[in-house]
Amino acid sequence: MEEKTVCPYCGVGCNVIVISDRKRILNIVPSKREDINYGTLCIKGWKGFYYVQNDKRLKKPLKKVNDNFVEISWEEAIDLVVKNLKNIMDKYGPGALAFQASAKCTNEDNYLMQKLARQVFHTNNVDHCARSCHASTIEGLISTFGSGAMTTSIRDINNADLYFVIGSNTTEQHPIIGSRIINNVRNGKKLIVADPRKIQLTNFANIHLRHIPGTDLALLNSIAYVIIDKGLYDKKFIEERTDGFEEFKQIVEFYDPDRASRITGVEPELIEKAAVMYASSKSIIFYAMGITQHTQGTENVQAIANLAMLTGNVGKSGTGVAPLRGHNNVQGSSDMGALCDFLPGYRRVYDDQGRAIFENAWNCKISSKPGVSLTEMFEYALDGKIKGMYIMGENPVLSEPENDKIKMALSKLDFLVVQDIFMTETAEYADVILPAYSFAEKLGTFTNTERRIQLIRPFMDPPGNARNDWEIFQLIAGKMGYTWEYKNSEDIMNEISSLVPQYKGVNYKCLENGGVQWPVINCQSTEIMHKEKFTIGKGKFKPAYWEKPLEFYDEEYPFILTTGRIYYQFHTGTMTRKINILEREAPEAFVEINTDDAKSLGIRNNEVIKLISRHGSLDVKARVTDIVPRGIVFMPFHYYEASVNKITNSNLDPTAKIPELKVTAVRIERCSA
Amino acid sequence: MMFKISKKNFQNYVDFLIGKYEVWGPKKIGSDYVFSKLNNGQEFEDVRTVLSPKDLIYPPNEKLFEDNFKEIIVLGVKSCDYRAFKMLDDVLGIDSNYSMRRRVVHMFNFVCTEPCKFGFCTTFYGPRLEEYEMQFTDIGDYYLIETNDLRFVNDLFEKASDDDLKIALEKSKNVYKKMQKLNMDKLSEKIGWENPLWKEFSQRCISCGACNFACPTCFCFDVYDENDRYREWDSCILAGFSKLAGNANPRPTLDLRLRQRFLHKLKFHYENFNYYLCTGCGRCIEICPVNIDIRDVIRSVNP
Ligand code: SF4
Ligand code: SF4
Ligand code: SF4
Repeated sequence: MEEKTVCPYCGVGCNVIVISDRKRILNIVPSKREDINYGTLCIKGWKGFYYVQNDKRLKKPLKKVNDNFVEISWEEAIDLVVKNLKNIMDKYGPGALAFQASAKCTNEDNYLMQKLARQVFHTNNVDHCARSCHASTIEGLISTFGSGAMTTSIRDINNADLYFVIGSNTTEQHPIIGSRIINNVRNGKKLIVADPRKIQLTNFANIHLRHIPGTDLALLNSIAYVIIDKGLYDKKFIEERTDGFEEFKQIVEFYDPDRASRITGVEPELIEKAAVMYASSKSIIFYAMGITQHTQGTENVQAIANLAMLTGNVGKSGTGVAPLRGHNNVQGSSDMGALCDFLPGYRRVYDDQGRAIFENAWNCKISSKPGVSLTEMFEYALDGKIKGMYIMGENPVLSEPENDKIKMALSKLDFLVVQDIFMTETAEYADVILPAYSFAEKLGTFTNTERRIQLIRPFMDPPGNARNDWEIFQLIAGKMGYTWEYKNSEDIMNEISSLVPQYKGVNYKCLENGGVQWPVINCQSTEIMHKEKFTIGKGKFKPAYWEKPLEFYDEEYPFILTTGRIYYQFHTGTMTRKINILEREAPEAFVEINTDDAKSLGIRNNEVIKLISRHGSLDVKARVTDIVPRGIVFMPFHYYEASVNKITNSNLDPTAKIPELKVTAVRIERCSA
Repeated sequence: MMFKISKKNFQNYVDFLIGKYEVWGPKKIGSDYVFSKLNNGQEFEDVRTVLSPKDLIYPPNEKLFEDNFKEIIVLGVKSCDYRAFKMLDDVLGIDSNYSMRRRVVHMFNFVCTEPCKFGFCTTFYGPRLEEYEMQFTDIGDYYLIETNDLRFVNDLFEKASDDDLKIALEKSKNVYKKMQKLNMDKLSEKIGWENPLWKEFSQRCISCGACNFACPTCFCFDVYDENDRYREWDSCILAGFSKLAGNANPRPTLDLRLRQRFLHKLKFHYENFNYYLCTGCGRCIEICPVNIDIRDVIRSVNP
């Protein structure tokens, strides 16, 4: 049989036709649709699906008995979960519970998990990994444009004349958008890359700005300075469509290229050149974690929005702001309100009107106080304020900063339930483990980085007694006395589309032919947002001064450690590390260190060295390379054997609560010395 | 032997085959054509699929030491894809799974009468083959059928005349007319180790492996264990493909790996077997996310 579905890795959302006999995958075929993957896939698409048939898939519910897991029935598992969560709620109040949804799961799953948290367990303590990746995008773009998502579409990339890529290693993390950029640049379009690392895209860049991690805001402000100084801004657009230009002007005035150069390490001439080039073309700005994972993440995103408004590069074909979403469905899980401060459709929990809609629909009271965010949940658990946790398809033990603290927090919980497809580093700490369907067994929807709601269809039989995530929530709600009557995932989508304005009127039928981009109007896509006016009305300039990251290089810790992913692995490797070829290509952790730095420290390639930060230390193999500049080291976070998040800092962006994973001060020692 | 079958009866013929065998063919899924199991004759369309049917004889990922070979018939195979199996035979012929499937999977090739977008099959064997199981050519209201295998002949078949054959030849000539034939003169001797294209390609190749996976003649695999033993398609573009113990690698950089792929096809294989490991299907060109084009390599040697 054959089914059309969507790649479960990155936010590009490549369409794939899977041929299978329902026990095994027989072949993977990329769809030729021109508006997304034009008949291509990256290596994760070609090779990465086979984890679904791995024998290690969880097949039965498990409970922990004396440090071992034993198989139990679903009845017992649900009883245990309900009994324990309810006890905690009754004894300590709903605030003692916390829920973690998952950007790997469908919109329907995420919607129901936050409904379970809010309606059944009366808490806003529900959050997910968007907190650690694009929470600052949500805040930053909602405050400026009114909507926290890519303003344009993948297809529209072809219509731009210039791409400004900052803090995104596009060819590795969103390869099929990266390749589209390369093809356009080879056809004469221009490219500016701002990244401390010499990433593949820099092979094609007209300008490469190698700024120091954590200085993005100074760089972006300086680009705005030049544009204003040279009178290259779009006066008409600013006047008609925006507010706050004067204040913006006053603040960026501070960032002449010379000054910015001293902060960012980028030559003033390059800043000027980039500014002129950006302002004089139809341009799209792409960004990812390099912008968002900072204590000033929200301000960084706002600075990008400012630039787009300043030059009128938004709301038209071939322009826009494009946050590249890491997970297949991190856009959707955010849309679904799997966030502690937002209800579905980005209604703030303290917005009385918004809350009322859901209180009526769900017949319950919702607290107007934002819940505890993902990063803070562990602090709360350590302090004994959170006692019970329910984690679906996430692996915070590896993905969140300061791993050891996370482990301690999880051990301190009275009750932890983990719902996943494999045993994970996090599931080890669970009292109950619930085996779930993977994307291969599900009917549902993912929303990709261009806001496209796409159907995924089941092509495999589920392993053992695994269950669909949303069905598990329905069972739990039922046991708690709430009769949800969803017969299938489409019933859930019907509820979503009646409550979430962006998804208004969406049903599976209108998704049949390639999906639609929200805001959906009569089952039709909005390809380019903010066309006549911004979602917020008038666009708002939100300027800010650059502040030195809370941790920066100093005498004691002279290097900046920045983290990220690599092409062959995905996040904590729960999926990719079980794929033969992907694991073969990238089997072990490494830290990139500049050749000259290595020389002066006497470090050879492949030598194991010690990275020491204020939060811990770890041993890892050095990869001596010129990809990183002097003073900066880079390490991927996929590997439990050398988990970089043991030593990253958990300083938060105060607005978005995103941790500053991109800047940790470290020092380096030779192990043998 | 030569037959013909009216297009109307052809559907009934497919239904007849489906009654006796598992039949696969191009099927439209959404906007794409993929090889899949046909449920009835109506589903069949003679359209070039996204991928070749290599997977049906040599699966992308298979459990080893497991006999589940069933007789199947594959309709709508393009001649370039079909011709590739003859090449695979020279390399994988000694493999038991491959050779078993080769015996029980019957591929019927359908001769193109229009060139496809990236193909250059006329450089090699062209859309009409000399050797086949059943070769079908669209000659208007009929398909001309050429075969020496009487097993699949059916009452619905009519006798074909020499005129029918003439039309078939004429139709396939259209492809020769419209497609550019590349100059392969002494290419394997002339193509050198050094070529500025390797570096140029390496700037943009995203190591997706698709050129290998889509190629009907690529045969390299890797074996791994996961309770059982599995074999999967490999890609010489990937660093791990040539990685040795202790992380040594004779092809440590991407340009050298790209060179390997092209030189294998256009030099080494020729030196060993006296033919180029390429049928001109153009699939690697079409599937490459960044437009890396084997025709550029050939032209860089023989303009
Ligand atoms: S680019 Fe992203 S969506 Fe496409 S195949 Fe690769 S990981 Fe999957
Ligand atoms: S290369 Fe194209 S025209 Fe030639 S046989 Fe193959 S599909 Fe037909
Ligand atoms: S298809 Fe293109 S990008 Fe992919 S590995 Fe081959 S040459 Fe590289």
